Amino acid sequence: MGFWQKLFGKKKKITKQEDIPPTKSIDKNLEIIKEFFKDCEDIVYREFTIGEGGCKAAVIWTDGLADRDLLNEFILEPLMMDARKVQPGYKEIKNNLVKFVEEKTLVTADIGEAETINDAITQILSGESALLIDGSDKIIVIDSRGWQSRGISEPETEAVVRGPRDGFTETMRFNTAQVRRRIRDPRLKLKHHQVGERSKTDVAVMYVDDIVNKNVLKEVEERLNKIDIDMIIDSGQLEELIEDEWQSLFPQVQNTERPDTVASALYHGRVAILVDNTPFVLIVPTTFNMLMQSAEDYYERWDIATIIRILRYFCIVIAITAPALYVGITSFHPQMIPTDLALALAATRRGVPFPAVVEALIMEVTIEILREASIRLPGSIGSTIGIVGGLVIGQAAVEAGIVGPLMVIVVAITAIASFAIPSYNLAIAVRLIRFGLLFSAAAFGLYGIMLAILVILIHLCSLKSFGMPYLSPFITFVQDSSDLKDTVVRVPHLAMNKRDINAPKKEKGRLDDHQEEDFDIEDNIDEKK
Amino acid sequence: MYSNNDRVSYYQIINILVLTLIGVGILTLPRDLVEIASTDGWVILLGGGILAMGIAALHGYIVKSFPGKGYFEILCLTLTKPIAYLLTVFFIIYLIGTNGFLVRIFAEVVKVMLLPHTPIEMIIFAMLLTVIYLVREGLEPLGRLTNIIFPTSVIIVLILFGLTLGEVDTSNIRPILQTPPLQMLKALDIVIFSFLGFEMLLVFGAYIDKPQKATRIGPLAVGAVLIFYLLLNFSVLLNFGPAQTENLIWPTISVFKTIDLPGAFIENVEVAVMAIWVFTVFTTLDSFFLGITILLKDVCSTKEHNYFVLPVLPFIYFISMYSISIGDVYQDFGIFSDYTAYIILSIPLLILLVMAIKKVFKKDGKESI
Repeated sequence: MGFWQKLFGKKKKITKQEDIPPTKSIDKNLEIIKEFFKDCEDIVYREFTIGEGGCKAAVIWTDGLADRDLLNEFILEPLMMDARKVQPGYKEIKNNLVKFVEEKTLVTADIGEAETINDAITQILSGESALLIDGSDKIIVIDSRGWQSRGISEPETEAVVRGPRDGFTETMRFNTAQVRRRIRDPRLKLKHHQVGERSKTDVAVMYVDDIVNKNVLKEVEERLNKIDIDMIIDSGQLEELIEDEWQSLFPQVQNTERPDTVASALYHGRVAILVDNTPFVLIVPTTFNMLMQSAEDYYERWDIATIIRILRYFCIVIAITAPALYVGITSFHPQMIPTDLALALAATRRGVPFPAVVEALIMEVTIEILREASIRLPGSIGSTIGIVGGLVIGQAAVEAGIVGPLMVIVVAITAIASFAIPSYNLAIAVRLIRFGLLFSAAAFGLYGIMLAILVILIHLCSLKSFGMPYLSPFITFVQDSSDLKDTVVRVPHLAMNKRDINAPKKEKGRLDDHQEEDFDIEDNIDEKK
Repeated sequence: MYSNNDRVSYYQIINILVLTLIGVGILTLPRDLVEIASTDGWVILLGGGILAMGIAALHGYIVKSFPGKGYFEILCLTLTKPIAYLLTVFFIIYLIGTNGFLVRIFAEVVKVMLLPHTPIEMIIFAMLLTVIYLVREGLEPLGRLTNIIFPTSVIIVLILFGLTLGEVDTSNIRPILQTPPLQMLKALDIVIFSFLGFEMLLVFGAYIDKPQKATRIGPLAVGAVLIFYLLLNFSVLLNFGPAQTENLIWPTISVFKTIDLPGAFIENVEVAVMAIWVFTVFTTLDSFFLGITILLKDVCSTKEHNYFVLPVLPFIYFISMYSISIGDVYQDFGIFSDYTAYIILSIPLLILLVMAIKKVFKKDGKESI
């Protein structure tokens, strides 16, 4: 029951309502609760008497959230029917009725007590049932959560060819179980918070106690406690409230639908934040490198994964710079490319009435519209529209002489390249940055592109995610080059004998029994210094 | 201290210094060397470089002796407060002036190489805006940025140097040791000036996380630059020979123009060279600019340095537009350096002198007790 105490220990800080202690009279209590639940017609009050000639009691629950079968069979039946049949009778146990009920009558797995009526109300709204007994100032809370929920299905946003197919669902308890299933270690800790003054959304913080970066954990707890908002619907809102730089385009918190990704992150000393009512789990701290990784990299052969990762980094470069380079080269530096190509390029652009930047803008905006439209369309039509939009409009635009054919190729490659970025929130940032680069290339050519890349680099360098520099393994490799093993390359698992940058230095070693000396020596040197 | 709790590691400060040292000087250095000593330029370079390493080590020693103290504080402790104010303001003026001339030379090169039709004011302005963006972020992001730029540039530069050695005439670097030693000694100052930038160690010294290692930082940084300069000098000489080098405005760029990659998509690799060069000049400008704001922060004893970024900008812009043509820029820059750089380089010696005197007095005091 520590779980609920923790939950409500936090709540006291947030809530401004005065706590009302329950009284000994059930009528009084019921009156207060009914006052709270005025006009809430989905709240069910079931009043009855316990046993033969016993005292009054009432069970309160929210219809739809509580499991009705459980209530009938394991709460109402023992209290009303069985209590009559068996000894001791009501009169003998009158004085410690509550204790008796709790210990011997209720046959449910999890019961607790609410300290105040406000507590009880939150519990009822979370799907628990409250049992009130006349003559007692205690409210027994019975775990009866049981609502309809979506089953575990494959995560659509992070599909893999090889790897586990289960994804998170909207119920947090299932999600924590899915993570727990992968980490059978008592050192995996789980702490509950409640966020949102009205929504009282459950938020769970998961970490592995000995390998987590304590500073990050402290920071997470602090930021979660600092949140002052009425409701949280999705983890996206929470992400914005706890991230370091909300002005930045770049996501500083990773989100995933995959339990295996979360488990792997926890094993590397990161912290997972699970939010109720959403399948998207947040992982912090997040670096740029982590957003460029896919879960599948670890399940496929290492050499192939490495090549694919290099390809992915190449793709992000294309996605950011390709249209800008086209504009820069055609309008400022045609001498850069081979003469034949430059001539061919000029010939295709001969009939185009616009400067290169307008040409690029027309095509880029078109493709962005197509993208946005295809999300709204039902799946089956979506792909058709993609083909119609991509092929037909592109072809028609070239034939109409609005854009050059090379521009269509560049825009198409750019769009495809941006889909190769594994995390969607990074990909949309890249989409926007591309336009910035386009304009700076239009103004200053390659010089503009260089400056724009510098600005992006400066921004990335100054970003931090929960105290971790955003470009982490790339800027700290001098101190510890082992962090580079899991970046652009993915070395074989045998060689990945160290946890990544998130874990504290002492806990870096992974395969303790095999490579112990390796990192021990390093630690000793550090201590000597 | 700053919003980005500035601490730079030992490696980062070396990277910052290396990239600060390599600036616009590399464009003309091979020509200057040839003008002074024909094929013996490398001897002067080596001598000057080793001397600069020594001076840089002295800078590091000062930082080590006053761990966690800024330039202004060190001056206050050793040379009394009024002199500290005077010298710090002088240092600021030196940095503003240097920054102005550097950005002008940079813009002239960019104009010639990349943007012949763009007004130079716009080129300067775009660069300065990018610079102030990083200056406002502070020293730590600069350290991280150099951590990325430095290794990438080293790899690309080494490849490029390798490529320049495709068709060379080894007779170009002969004869060796033909210049009289006195002439070489006279030219030492030019070489040391080309290593200027390591004085920033004193300004950034307060932010190094391991000040006890500071003595090594300067020599390592200057040494790395020295190797780079030597490579550059040999590469230019091998390709062009002394006679031709003397007539090139920017021999460094010309030497990379000789690279010919048959079958490559990019016609000339100048762009790669320009890109790296833009990045290194950017870091030079940025660390000088950051130095200005940090010193101003110390002098005005405020907490944040970014208030000073925008007020300084017009001065730098004004100086950058002061000279009329590129020839004037080099001339004015030379005059400016002559007036300032000697004093800047002698300040650390003064500090060391006072430190030594204080030490002697302390010893005397102890013995008398």
